[in-house]
Amino acid sequence: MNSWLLIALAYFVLFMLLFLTLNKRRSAPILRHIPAFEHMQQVVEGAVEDGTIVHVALGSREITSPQAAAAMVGLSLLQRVNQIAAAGDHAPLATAGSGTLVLLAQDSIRSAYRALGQSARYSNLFAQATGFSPYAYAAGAMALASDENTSANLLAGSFGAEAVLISTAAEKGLTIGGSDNLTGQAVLFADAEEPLIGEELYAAGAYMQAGPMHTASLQTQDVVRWALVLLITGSAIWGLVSELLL
Amino acid sequence: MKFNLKFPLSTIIAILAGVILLLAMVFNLSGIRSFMLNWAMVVAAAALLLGVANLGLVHVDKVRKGENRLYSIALIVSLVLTFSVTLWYGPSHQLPQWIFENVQLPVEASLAAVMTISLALALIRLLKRRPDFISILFVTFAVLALISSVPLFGMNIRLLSEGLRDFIQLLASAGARGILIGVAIGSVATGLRILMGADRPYSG
Repeated sequence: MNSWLLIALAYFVLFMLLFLTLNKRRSAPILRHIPAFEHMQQVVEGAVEDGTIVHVALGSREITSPQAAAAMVGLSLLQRVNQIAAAGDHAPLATAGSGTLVLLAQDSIRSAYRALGQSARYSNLFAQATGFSPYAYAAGAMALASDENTSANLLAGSFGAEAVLISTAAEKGLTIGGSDNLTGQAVLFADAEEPLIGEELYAAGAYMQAGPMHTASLQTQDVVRWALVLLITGSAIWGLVSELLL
Repeated sequence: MKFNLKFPLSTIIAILAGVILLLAMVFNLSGIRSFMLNWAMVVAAAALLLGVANLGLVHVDKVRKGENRLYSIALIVSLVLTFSVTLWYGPSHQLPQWIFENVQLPVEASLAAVMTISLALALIRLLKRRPDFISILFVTFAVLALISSVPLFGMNIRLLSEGLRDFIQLLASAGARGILIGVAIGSVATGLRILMGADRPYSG
């Protein structure tokens, strides 16, 4: 029985609820400056004004795979982008490389339109499957990324090196990208105008005002990270000291 | 293709499935775990079919609108042909295998080749776009990693191949661990938000 896992998760949830309660009582915490999220908000609002398309690329990993969390962040981001931009002339378009992601993306977009009272404007083609392997997906997404009407490309999901094909094709528009994959992160650091490194992708909800729980979970992530830093540093020092003295 | 995942049903299903799977993992209930994963695979396979239908519809729409018509027609014809052949003969038959080996593989290999050039260009573009200390460090280490991983002009210089490689691996593995710890914590937080119903990236 992995009781330690359950205890750790219980503490995680407790901290999230604690920060949620504290944030309700006091003013919202000041988040550190991440330029990618500022530009993301601006670019989505700008797309509504100038009637251009925002392309949200969700990657090609299945939601049953270990990379599901990154895809879920992409879906949350897609929902938020649609809440802002669905009122524009051109709806944001999502591309995905797995069947489940396409269905969830369609549902996420539809819910944004329904919330705006514009269900009639919704089309299933707002979320598109472009291919079902990483390269096939990237090749299909390249067409949308290079479209002259596309003003921004938001890559949020699990991408490997194939991300470079999409970001290279998106030369005209702004590219903001984050991945849970190390190779994907390195590629996006090099080729995206605004890369999201490490856990920054998972902070998207808090920065895009997706809800108070997103901010609370971001604060919990910070607490857990510092606890791990102390644990790793402490154990390294202990190992060194015990080797020298004992 | 009208799907309405309505709250609270979709949220209840998502939370229940997540909690059962988590408990099955914590208490080592492998029977329940494999039962849930088998169901997930069936759903994913059905969703894949709908995804293929979506791919076809996107290109039918493009043909109708006259956008890059030739490419879309080529895709639809290839899709219908491959699907019919695989359905008729089965995926292990020679013909679908031939299509895979002689069409899919070479196309993906050429995309990989394009990707290599794109990566080299990305490095150059990075220095042009963000000529700061971190970018210079990134490019320097990328070049050093390349030098240390292949023989230089056919010569295997030990200091370059082993010394440099070990040094870079030491730094890279430390950095990678740091990033992966952040990613893991972020994944846990995302999973828990979904389990608690606080994050619903569907219409719940």
